Amino acid sequence: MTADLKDDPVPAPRPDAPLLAVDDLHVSFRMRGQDVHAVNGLSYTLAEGETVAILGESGSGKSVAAQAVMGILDVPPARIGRGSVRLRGEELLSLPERRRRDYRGDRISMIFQDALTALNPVFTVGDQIREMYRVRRGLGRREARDRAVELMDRVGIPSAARRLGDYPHQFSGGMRQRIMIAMALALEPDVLIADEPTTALDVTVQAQVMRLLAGLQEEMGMGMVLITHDLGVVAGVADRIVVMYAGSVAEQAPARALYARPAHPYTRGLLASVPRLDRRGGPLVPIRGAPPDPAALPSGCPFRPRCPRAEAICSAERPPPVTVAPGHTAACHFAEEVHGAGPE
Amino acid sequence: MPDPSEGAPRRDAPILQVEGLVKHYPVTRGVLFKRAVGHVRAVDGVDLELRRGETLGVVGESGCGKSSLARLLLAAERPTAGTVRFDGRDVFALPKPELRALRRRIQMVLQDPYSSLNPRMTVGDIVGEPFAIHPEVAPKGERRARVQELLELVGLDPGHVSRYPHQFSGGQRQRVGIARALALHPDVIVCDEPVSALDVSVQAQVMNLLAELQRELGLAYVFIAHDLAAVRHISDRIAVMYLGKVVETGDEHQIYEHPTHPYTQALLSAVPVPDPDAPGLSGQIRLEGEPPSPLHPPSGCRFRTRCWKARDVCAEREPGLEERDGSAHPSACHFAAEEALTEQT
Repeated sequence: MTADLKDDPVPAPRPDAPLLAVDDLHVSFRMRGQDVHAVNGLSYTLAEGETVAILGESGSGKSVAAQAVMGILDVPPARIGRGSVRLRGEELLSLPERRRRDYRGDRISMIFQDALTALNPVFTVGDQIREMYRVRRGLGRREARDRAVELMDRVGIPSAARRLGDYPHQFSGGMRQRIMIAMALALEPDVLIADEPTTALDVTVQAQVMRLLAGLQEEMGMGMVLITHDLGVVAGVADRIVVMYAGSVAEQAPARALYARPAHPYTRGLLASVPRLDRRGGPLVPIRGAPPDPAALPSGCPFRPRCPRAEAICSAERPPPVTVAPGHTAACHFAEEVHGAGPE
Repeated sequence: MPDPSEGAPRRDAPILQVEGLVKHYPVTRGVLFKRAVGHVRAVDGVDLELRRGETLGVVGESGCGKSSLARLLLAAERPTAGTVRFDGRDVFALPKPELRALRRRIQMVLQDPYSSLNPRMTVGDIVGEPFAIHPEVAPKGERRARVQELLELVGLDPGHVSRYPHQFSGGQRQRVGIARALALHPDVIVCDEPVSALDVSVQAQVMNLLAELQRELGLAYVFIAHDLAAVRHISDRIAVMYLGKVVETGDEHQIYEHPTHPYTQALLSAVPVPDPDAPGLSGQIRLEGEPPSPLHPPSGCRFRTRCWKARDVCAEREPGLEERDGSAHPSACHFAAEEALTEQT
């Protein structure tokens, strides 16, 4: 990985540094001789036991950013242009791949939307979990097996010992998701990145998996980065929310503040456009148009073409993040006014 | 409910009437000598009614049979048993030419606007293709103008008639699919997950469009979806399905504010609400496990294996879908009753 870090030299790990600090992360892809900017300056920090949600639609750059943090982006075609990712103060982007590999699973781990493609179809789930204990922890056969059974029990797989010899396709969607969670948490990482972990699941199973994740997080005290497009899932579990739009951070706030008083027109628009289960309102207020093509972003504010309050300044100048309340920022020229308008 | 009396059809008579509908798919073993080793009971005795101009929401988790039901309503498949009456006539007893004529009046909108539009056809050809099969609807010379009218009706630029699907965004493609469904002036549109493949900010556009078209054209919708909030928003009446059966049905208010079937209650309580002050994970009815296989549904009540109210009678006797002491609307549970949905911890 050749991230050219123009900032200060790599700092040593510090116990008092935040668990995870992502700062001004830029990721682009070289496609058809053109740079496509997928992530344009993402910053957030994550503390122990905290859940930060990255909320965005398809193409917002939320998954690419997570892969960059995890160190699993293919470089090239991807390029991490600038920025830093620090785990307890230690810069990850400049670490040699060997060291990074040691960190994956052990310190920072990831689960995905589709467990069927994330698990290896030709090995039993027992093999896949045991392998981790044997390779990474140097455990013997028997011990690795016992730990695997223990772990499968812990994520709620019935008759775990018997199912160790089953292949991924023999499990239901919800059970596969549990197995993937088990594998991600086997080495007790400090940070878990969950990329749309329940999107493919039915709603009752989704609730089970979210409960499981919340319980394990509490037990292990890990920090969680939850990547999702679902405003409902986020509301129930996130401490803080980062709203991404077209590769940039539109708004960042504590969860309650974001829902109660959004300060970015995009966030406001999203909240007004989703139907609510708990009430039947009037017509939905959609956001006009569609998200922009990352290869052809509009000038100035990326949300400008769809924004009801856009003015001349919005196409001329890219809005910097404006702090509207402690811990609450929005990248909008009119953030103060939008925030001042209060709830819908 | 009064018995449907004999004689002339009433004005508010249902446009679509489903009775005892069953669809079993055989599961076969063997290559040369195929033999059925079992049946997937995808739809297993469904009664439904759709009135003119209304929206019937059908909700349920994957595998509950809602998409199989859609194919039966469209007469794309023949049922194992039961009837579908369209405007009073039994669809599966019609002679071929009449079935063909009837198909004009019931159309569908599919989930994925990326795979349901032919990438090699222009949008104009896609929207106008139904006229090739039903030429009586629009004479040849008028077709282009009619296609442009349709594009305008769904909020697309009529000038884009010669563009290809890949030149449109997901939401616009779904509009193309809707324009195609409208081409033949249908009475009923079956929408199978019409917004679930779209971005959140675009879903509302398509839902609002469907609502507007309904008001303007008097369409009736069967709106099949797993998104309970979307279904509540758009539906007048709702049917909740579980393992091939309707477990509860009623109007929007009855189902969402006064659900009486434990499955409906659990389903509603599991939906995350976009409000950090909502009860959240702790206030949910905790439903364990996943739906059993439709290959071997449980005896009696199909939900009993996951139900916290289940007793012996639930395994012995299947509860009918009917009004009960604890339920003012039809609910298929021996112990149907309202329950405080948001028990705080």
